[in-house]
Amino acid sequence: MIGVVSYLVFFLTLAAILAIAVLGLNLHWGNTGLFNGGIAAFFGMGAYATILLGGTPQAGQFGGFDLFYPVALAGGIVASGLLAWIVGVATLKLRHDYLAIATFGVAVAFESFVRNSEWLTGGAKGLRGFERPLEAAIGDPFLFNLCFFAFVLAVLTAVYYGLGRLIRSPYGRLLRAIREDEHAAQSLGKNPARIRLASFITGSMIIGTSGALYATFYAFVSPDDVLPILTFQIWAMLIVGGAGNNRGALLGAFVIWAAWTSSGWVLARLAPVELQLYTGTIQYILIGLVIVGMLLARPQGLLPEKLVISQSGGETPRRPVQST
Amino acid sequence: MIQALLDGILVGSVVSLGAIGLTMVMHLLRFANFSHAELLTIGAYVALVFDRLFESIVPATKAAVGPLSLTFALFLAILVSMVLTGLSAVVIDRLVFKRIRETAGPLSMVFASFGVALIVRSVISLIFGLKPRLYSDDIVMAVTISTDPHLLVKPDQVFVFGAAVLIMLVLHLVLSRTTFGYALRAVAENPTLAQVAGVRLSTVIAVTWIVGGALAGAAGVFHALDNQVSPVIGQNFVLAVFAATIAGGIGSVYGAVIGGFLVGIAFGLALVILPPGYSPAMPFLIILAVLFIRPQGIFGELR
Amino acid sequence: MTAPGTVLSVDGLVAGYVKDLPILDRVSLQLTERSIAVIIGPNGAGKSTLIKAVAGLVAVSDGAISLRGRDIAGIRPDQLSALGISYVPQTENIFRTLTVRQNLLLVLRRSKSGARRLDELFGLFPPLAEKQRARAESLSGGQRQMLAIAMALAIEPSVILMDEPSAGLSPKAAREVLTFTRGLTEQGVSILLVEQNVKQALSIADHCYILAEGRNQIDGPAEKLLSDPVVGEIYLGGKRVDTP
Repeated sequence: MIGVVSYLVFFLTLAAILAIAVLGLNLHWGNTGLFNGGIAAFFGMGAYATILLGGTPQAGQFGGFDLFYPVALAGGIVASGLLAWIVGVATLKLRHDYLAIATFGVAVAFESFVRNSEWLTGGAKGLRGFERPLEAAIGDPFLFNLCFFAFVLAVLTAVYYGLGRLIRSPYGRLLRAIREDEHAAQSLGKNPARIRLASFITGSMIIGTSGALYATFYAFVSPDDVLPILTFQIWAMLIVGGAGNNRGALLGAFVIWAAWTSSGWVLARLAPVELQLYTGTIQYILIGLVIVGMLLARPQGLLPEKLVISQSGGETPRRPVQST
Repeated sequence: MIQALLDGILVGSVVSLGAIGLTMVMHLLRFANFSHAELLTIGAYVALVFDRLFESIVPATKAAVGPLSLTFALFLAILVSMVLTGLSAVVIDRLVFKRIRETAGPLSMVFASFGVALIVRSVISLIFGLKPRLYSDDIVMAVTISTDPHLLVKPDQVFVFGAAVLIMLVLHLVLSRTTFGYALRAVAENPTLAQVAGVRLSTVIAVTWIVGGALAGAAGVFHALDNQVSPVIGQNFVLAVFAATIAGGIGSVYGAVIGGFLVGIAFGLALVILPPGYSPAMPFLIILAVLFIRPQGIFGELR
Repeated sequence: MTAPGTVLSVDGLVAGYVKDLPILDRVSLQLTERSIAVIIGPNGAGKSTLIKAVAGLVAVSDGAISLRGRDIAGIRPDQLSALGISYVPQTENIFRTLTVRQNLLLVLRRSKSGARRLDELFGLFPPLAEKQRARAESLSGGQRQMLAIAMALAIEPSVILMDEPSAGLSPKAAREVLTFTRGLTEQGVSILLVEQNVKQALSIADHCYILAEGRNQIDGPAEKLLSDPVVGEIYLGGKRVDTP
C-alpha cells in the first residue's frame, strides 16, 4: 500500500511541478499572445542555476556554492528571468512565426551550450552533488517526499492564485487588450512593448521556478532535461487543457502527465524485449497525435476560455491565404 | 580554411534545397512549418527503400555510376523519392494543416507542425530503427584536388553540388519562363489578385507543397549520400533551414538559395573556429544576426 | 425578375467582410447589355464592397447576384474569367514583380489564342508594347492603370467591373481612361463602374446608382442625375432616401 501511495506522491509531485510551467506558458500565450517555442531554455536555466548555487562543491566543477536553499531557488528564478529579459528584448517585436523560430533557436542554443560547456555545466554528464533541502533532517524518504510535495503544491497554489489576481486586475485586462489589438492599446497611451516584455519575463520566471523545483526533486540536472520534447510536452498540456485559462492549464498538466507516465509504464510492461528501446519513440508518436488530434478536433482545449472578441477597427490586416 | 569553405558549400547545397520549399510555404500560408525539415528524412529513407528494391529486381543497377558511390539504382531511387516526398508533403497538408487553417489560426498550424514533426520522425524510427544506415558499403576515397593548400573532395560531393545546382536552375527556368511559374510568383505577390487573374489557389498551394517536398526529399538523399541515413536528419537541419529562409527573406526562392549557402559556409567555418559541439547553435546566431541587421532578409519585404 | 437585356443583376444583397457585420444592406442594381452603370456615393458607402461581392471577394450572406439569369453569388474569384467577367481593383491591380509581358501572359494562360491576343493588346496599348520586358513596378501610374485595363481586356470579357479607374490619375489621363471605357461598350462589353469623380463618370455612363451607408439611395439615367439637386445633397451628407 505504501508503495502505491509513494508512487502516487511521486507522480503528483512531478505533475504539479510541470503544471507550474504550464501556468507560466499560459501567461505568455493565453494572456499575452506570445509564442514561446523555447520553454526548455527557461526551464533549464532555473534548474541549472539552482543546482549551481545550491549544490555542494564538486571536484573540478564550477558551482557548488552550497547556498541556503531559498537563496538557490531564488537564484534559479532570477536567472531564468534574466535570460528572458535578454531574449525578450531581442525577439519580442517579431511576428509570431519569427518569434516561434527564434525562441526555438534559443532552446537549441541553450541545450548545445550546456551539453558542451563541461567546465560550467558538467557537460553531457550533468550536475550532481545537490543535497535536497531538509532531506537529512527529515530522515524518512517517504515523509520527505510528502513534505516536498506539500511544498510544491504550496508554490503551485501561490502561482495559480497570484496569476488569477493578475489576470483579473487592470493589468490583466491590459494584457488581453494588447493580445487582441495592439494598435488600440497603444492609442490609449500604454506601451505595449514594455508590457509584453514584463509579461514574458514573469512567465519565464514561473517556468524557471518549475525547472528549479524539478532539479531540486531529482537533485540532478543534465542536458537531456532541456530537450525540445519538454517544450512539446508543456505545449501539449496547454493545448489539451485549454489555452487562455489557468484551470485548463492545470487540467492539461495532469492529464498529459498521467498519459505520459501510464503509456511509459504500459509499454515497458507489454512491449516485447526488442521494442523496449522504442518505448520513448512510441510515446513521442502518442504525444504528437495528441497535439495534432486536439488541434483538429477541439482546438479550444478541454476547458475553453470564454473569449470576448473585440472588433478590430480600422484597417483589416491582410488575411492569410484561404484555400478552397 | 578553404577546405572548410568547400565542405560548407556542400552543406549549403542541401540547406538551400530544403529552404526553397520552406520559404514558399511560409510565405504562402503564413506559418513556421517545423515539420518541413522532416521531409529530408522522408526523402532519405524512401530513396533507401527504392534503392534496395531496384537492386533486388534488376541486379545490374547495383553498379556505381562512374567514380561515385552512387549506383544506378540509387539514382532512380532519388527520382522516385522526390516524387513520393512531394506527395507526402501535400498529403500531410490535406490531412492536417488545411483543416486547421480553415478552423483555427496560423499559430495552431505551428503547434500542429511540431506534432507532425514528432510523429514523422518517430514513425520512421519505429519502422527503420534508430541505427543509422548507409546507401552503399563501398568506401569512396576522397580525391586530392590540391596539395597546397591541402584540399580533398569526394566525387559524391561534386555530384551533390552539381545536382543541387541543376535542380535550382530548372526551378529558375520554370519561374521565369513558364506561365505556371508566373502563376506561382503572382500568388506569392498578391494571392487575391492572382485569383482575379484566374489562378486557382488550391492548385498553387498543392504544387508548392509538392515542389517544396520534392526538393527537400532530394536534399535529404544528398545529405545522406555523404553522411548517413538516420531518423535525426530532419532534426539536425530544422534550425539551419529556418535560418536560410529568414536570411534570404521569406517568400524569395533566390533568397533561400543564397541563404542556404550562407548558412552552409557559416557551418563550415564554425567547425574550424568554434569548439566542436557548439555548431548546432550556429544557425541560431545567424537568425539573430539577420533579425538585428535586416529583419526582412536579403530579398524579403517588411511587413 | 431579370429584365431582358440585363446582363448582371444584383438583388437585395447583404454582404460584408466579417460575418454578422454586413456592410451592404439589401442593395440592388441592374446592368444592361453594352452599357455603363456607375456607382457613386460618399466615402464608406460600400461601393467597393459591392463590386468585390460581385467578384466573389466578399462573403454574401443574403440576396442574389446573377449573370444573364445564372446565379453567381459566392463564386470563387478564379472562376470569374471563365464566366467572361473581369475585375480591375482600385489599388494593387498589377503584379509588380512580373514584367508587363509576363503579367499579360499570366492572364492569357488559359486562352487558346494567347499569342494573337497579346499582339492585339500591344496594338491597343503601344506604350505597353514598348515596355513589355520591363518589370511592372517600373511603370508610371498611368501606365500601370493601362496595364491593369489591358489585363482585364485580355480574356475578351463581356462584363468588366472597375473600381475607381481614374483614381490617382491626372485629370487628362482620367478623362482618357473614362473615354476609352465608353468606347468598350461599342465592342459589346458591359461595364459596372465605381467612381469618385462624379461629373466625369456621369458623363460617360448610361445609368447611375447612388449608394450611401450600404444602401441604395436613388438611381436613374445618368444625364438626369447629373442635373438633380438631390445628388448633391446626398453627397453633402444631408438627405438620405429609404428605397425598398
